[in-house]
Amino acid sequence: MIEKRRVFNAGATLIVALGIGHFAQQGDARVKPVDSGGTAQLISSAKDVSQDRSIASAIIPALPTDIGVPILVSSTHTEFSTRVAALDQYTDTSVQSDVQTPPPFVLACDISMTSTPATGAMIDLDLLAPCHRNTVVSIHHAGLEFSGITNESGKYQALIPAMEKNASVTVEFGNGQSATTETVVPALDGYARAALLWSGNSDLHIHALEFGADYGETGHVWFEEPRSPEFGLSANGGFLTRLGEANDLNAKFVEVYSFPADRAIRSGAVRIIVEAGVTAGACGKDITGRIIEVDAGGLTSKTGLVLAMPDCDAIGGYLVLKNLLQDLRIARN
Amino acid sequence: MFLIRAALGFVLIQAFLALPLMAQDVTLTSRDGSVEISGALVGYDGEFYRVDTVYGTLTVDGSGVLCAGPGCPDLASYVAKIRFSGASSIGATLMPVLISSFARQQNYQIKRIVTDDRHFTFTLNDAGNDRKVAEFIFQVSNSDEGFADLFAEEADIALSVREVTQEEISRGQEAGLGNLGALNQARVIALDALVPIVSDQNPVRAISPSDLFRAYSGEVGNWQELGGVDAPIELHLNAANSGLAKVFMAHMGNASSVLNQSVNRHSFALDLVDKVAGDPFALGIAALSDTGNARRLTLSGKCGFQSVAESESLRTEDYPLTVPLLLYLPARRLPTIAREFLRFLGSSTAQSAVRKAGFVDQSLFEIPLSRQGDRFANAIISAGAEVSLKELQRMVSALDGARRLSLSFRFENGSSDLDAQSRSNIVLIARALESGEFDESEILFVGFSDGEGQASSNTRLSGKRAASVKAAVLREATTVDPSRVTLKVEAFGEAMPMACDDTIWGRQVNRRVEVWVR
Repeated sequence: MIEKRRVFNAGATLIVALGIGHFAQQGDARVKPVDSGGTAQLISSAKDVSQDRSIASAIIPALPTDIGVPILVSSTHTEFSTRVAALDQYTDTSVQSDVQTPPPFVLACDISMTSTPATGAMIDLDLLAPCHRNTVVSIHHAGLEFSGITNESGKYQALIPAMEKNASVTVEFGNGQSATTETVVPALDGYARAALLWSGNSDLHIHALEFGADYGETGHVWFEEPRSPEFGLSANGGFLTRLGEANDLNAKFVEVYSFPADRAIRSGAVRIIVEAGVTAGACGKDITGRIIEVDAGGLTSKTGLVLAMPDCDAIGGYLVLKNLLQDLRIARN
Repeated sequence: MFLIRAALGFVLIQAFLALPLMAQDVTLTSRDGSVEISGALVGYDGEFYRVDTVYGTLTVDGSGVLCAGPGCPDLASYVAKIRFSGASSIGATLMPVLISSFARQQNYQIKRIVTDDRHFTFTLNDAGNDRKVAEFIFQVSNSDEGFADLFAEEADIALSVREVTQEEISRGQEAGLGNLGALNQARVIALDALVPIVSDQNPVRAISPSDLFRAYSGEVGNWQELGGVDAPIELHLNAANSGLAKVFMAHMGNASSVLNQSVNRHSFALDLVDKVAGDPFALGIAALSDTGNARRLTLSGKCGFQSVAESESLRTEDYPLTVPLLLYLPARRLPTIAREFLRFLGSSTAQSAVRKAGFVDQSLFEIPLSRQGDRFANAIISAGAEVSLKELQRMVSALDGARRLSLSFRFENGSSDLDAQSRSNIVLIARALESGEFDESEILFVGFSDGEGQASSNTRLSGKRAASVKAAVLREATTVDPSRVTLKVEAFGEAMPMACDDTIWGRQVNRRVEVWVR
């Protein structure tokens, strides 16, 4: 029943929205959360609607005020959705409502996405895609690529290491739809980053051995001892980020090691080692992926990667690659 | 499983050999039909065929002939394959950075196919149409293996941290590779150096080369004798077939024949560095490009000279244990993309990639006179009976207003032959002259010598060496306009020593031709 109504609502929305599009075009071509002209008018009327349905608006994330402008792209009705991006936060109101008076600015399927800079030169990505609940999405940023799954309300959240200062993040939904958001991460200056990407659920890990640390010692940073981005602030060492979920064979994963190179309080070397477990699923096969390195000066290099895994008689062993990712040479400042 | 596969492969190869060699045969016919060559196809580089014929191996321009026979390559899908083999510091550390920089500049997409740390291949695809244009295939081991693979036609380019030996030059000639000792078959692509390293917890900060050699020969066995704590010295060195270990042994001279038996050998340079960094009583020899978390020791001398390995002292070769990183090429034509890559290695983009990878590049710069304080002080201290005040004044006024160039010329031990880095410097300075970089200036080739023998004959000798370097540069700089630049020779013999004369390497550092620009 609800589903049916949604369909109906979505159709109605489209018609109304086309009207809005036309209207907005006469005012300001680009609609932003806070804008002038015809757009401002639209926002204020939308607010009235939401105030009437406080229960609904309470569960919806607040629109960021100053950073992370959401930009919406959808292959089906791009122009329209871009224009009404500002209204995303009022998305689901109609579903909660008994009132059938026309819910003029209700956009049930629109995708809202924001990105804001976070501690450790990270990007805080927030996605709400109400029509993509429990869905595998693919997240892209400056060559990084990984899979995520939205929750039952279509929400997905991730902390992504920025690989570019002017950081753009795109989420693809698998049906041809995608959304892009942009933010600026000034803190990236001075961070050295080494990223490993791969597809398939392989047993791949980056191990960073900081300043002569051995495996298992303090200073051995990896998946099981990742530290947090806050650690980067202390300038004592780096931290590891692993992203990617979903269990299907095409799922994509990322590990990124980050080190605040220009604020290091000691000099020396960080050895970066890649280990690939020879599992029953991976032995004798190729693992495909990519490596990306960003140095403290902001120079990036990207290289496609194929790991030719050892034969299956080596199951249980590890392919240890010490030369795949460059060691970091740290000079104390 | 592996054994079964290997055995199967063996059978297949045998079956293949049993077939007549017809499989590789080609017949090349000129487009007008007047000339025909038949034989086994040895190689095709996208432009030229190499065919083994009854007349020997012939190289034929592909644009002028039609190919027939089972050995003919598929011209449309030709992918250049360039095989590199040799030293791990070059293959595993420097080359990946250079290839990535080359790909960025030439707009290629690169992919790295990894079997393990010693075997990997870079594929280069045209970024426009995604067509694969080249494979750069790496086999990383040591300099010895690089030359061996070159001789066996299993490599197209050898990577070496040491110069080719006389024996290797003659083996190369036998293998039809040309003269590997010739200037055009060797390229210096970056500079590195040998540095003594210790743990961060070791109080010793400097070591004289003679003490270093005495430690490795076993004459000195306790840190106390080197100003450290009372503890035995734990010695570490790369494996005997490593190029760096060989260079070190060559510097040790006679002492190497009695190399301490208790030296810990490492087949991975990285393991050596990590081991030394973690042991307060360890002493190791590492490459400047990767000293990891170990501490580098300054080279000191009994006569007060100190030498620190750094970018400037490597370029000027004033640091005695400088190691040029070399590519050795066969005399045959390499595919176009290989030649483009080699040309790229001389570019300023490549030089900055070299620095990024932790090595020292060869770009030229001028060192101002104000930086010569230490060296002039040395000259004054060493002056006396043999070098007069008048001679020092002559030197200072001759160099007045000039700047030293960041390269010099040094000679093989006990000979008047230039070493590899200096031979490469001839080309560097010749190209700079040709490009007009020194137009309207005066270039001084300034000869110096060690202090062995009579000062006056040393001055004469150093002048001869400076004149021969100048002549070599002029021979190489064929297109330079002689009216635009003045080349002069000066000689001051033993007037400005840079190291003690008590070791071979010390004398080698002192015997030099510097280049000054005014």
